[in-house]
Amino acid sequence: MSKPSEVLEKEPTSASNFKDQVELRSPKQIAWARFKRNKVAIASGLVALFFVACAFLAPVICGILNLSPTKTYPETLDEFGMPIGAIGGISAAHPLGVEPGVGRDLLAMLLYGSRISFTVALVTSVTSIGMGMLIGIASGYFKGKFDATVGRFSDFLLAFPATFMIVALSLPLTQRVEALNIAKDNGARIVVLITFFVFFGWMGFARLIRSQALSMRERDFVMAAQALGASNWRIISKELLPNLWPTAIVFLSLSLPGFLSAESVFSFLGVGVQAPASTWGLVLADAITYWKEVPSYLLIPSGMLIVVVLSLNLLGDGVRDALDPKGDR
Amino acid sequence: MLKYIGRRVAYTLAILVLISLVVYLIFDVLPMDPARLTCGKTCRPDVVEANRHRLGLDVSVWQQWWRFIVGLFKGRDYAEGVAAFHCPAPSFGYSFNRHECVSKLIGQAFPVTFSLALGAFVMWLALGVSLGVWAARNKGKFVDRASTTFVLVGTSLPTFISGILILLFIVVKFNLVSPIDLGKWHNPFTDPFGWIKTFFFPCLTLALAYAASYTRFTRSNVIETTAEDFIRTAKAKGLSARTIMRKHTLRAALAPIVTIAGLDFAGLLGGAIITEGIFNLPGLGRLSIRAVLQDYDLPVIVATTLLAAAFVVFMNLIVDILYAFIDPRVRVA
Repeated sequence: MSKPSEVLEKEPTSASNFKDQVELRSPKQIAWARFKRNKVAIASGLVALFFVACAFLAPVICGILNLSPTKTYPETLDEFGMPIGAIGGISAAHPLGVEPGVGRDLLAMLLYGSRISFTVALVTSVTSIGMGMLIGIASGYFKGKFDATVGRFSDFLLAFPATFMIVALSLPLTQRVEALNIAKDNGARIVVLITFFVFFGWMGFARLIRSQALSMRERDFVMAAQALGASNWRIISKELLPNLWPTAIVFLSLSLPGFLSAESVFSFLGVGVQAPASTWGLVLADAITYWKEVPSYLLIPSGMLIVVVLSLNLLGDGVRDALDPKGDR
Repeated sequence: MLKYIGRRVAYTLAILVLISLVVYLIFDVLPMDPARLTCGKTCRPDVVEANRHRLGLDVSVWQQWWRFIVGLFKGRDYAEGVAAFHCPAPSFGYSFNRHECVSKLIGQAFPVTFSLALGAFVMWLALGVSLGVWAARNKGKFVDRASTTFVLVGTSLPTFISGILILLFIVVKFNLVSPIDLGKWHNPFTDPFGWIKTFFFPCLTLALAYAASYTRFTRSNVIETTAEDFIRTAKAKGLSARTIMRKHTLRAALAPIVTIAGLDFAGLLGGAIITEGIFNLPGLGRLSIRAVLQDYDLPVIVATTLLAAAFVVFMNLIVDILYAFIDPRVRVA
């Protein structure tokens, strides 16, 4: 893409005002300009960014408000363990109210909980996409036996009931991880969860990349590189990868919300992270008990989860539209 | 055609054998001892060993697997003498904690899960496909934008949240189903009204999530097909818009949906863990999650896992065969 502009700069004589008429932009600039025009995508990106920043800055925010996710505030609960005051005990000291029964601060719980959820979602998405990329390129570019083996293996994995396996194996595997001294308690549970998500999550993206690599390896620019004697590694890293990045970015932004809600589902079911940690799924599972007395305790976390997943989905759609070469047609 | 089907059936059986073997091997290397789990904390070692023998866990994992496979076709006998009992074919093993043949537990749970899956399947297909077609025919108009909003909300709403909200703020709040009746199994043939009462809202919860993605899929497929040459040809022939839609557009646009719908349905047959949990439905999903969380009842866990895998693999086979009828190009490949 840099070539035409160099040519123009060297030979400005024939088309001196050509540059003024046609703005020359790199694909990145085009995509960014298109993205900027999409107000919904910008707004949802900001919302998502806000939640991520809150999660990242949880200790700072809690420090300023003088709150802790593990500390209980028994003075905010009445004799039945229900929060005192309207809407779940919302007050200046506890902006989102307090947890019924135990008396922890809901804002602090949700902030620290979101750190776990976001970490799991991000690590899972990036790792499974990295794995899918590697395997997809390898089977699409080299074809043959490797491709056939990988294809059969992913068929096999796709037939596996992933949810069941996670439910059934998380408990013993967590014990195994703890026994191996890799991590303890919730750390071990998170390790197991991420491993499972990645293990059962790379196939879709690998297939997509495989089909793209398969068609790309027959294209002229790859054949030209081969004719020039470029090594396989060079072709993959310099010719294929730059063309596959947009797909990866789109897939990343669309798979983040999926893994985010998957994490809360499993902690909701009781096979993910457990108390004293407080992921959104755990809070929701607990909130069902108090839905009549303290509806806000249920509605605030569910509303938050919906807003985050929705904004990430919209952001992903925006990224996809922006990177789509047919976008302006 | 027969050759194609034969090849697919052989492949399916191979996958099934492989999956069952892998599941057995996985549970064998785990640090869980199912025999130890059959009795409480103050269990004597000789009781554990006796139970191990009664459960048939004192032989190698290969033998255990083989006994399981044989039991599926012939039924299985456990223990000797007065304590002997028989699980008739198809035997999925014996749950020591529940003192019940696993096939009996599955037999009780399956109608629940099947009702849930079937009801949801019908709802989401009806809603998703009709909304998708409607939106595609009115592209850019109000209906289309409304359906886009529905798709966004539907795909962003995790089932467990929509389930909780529907249960608490609609069903319980307005007292539509009494708490005692919630999750109660009614035979659809003798008590169809009770059956609908139990399953309407759980099915709706599941259907909402699926309907959204089916709407999106149908809409984009119909729009894409409308731009094809054969549609232009049909128009040039002077066919009415209605005939074109029915006979040409929909037929081509909905063929890929057969694949996805079949697999989604199969996935649900294995148990909708979340929906069953929220609505207290005694289906396969709840059976398996209880087996894990309460007492790690291994025979039940293995059986439900394998059953869920078998549904997916079989539905894959059925979809492939159906596809060979719909699309003749598949047979060659």
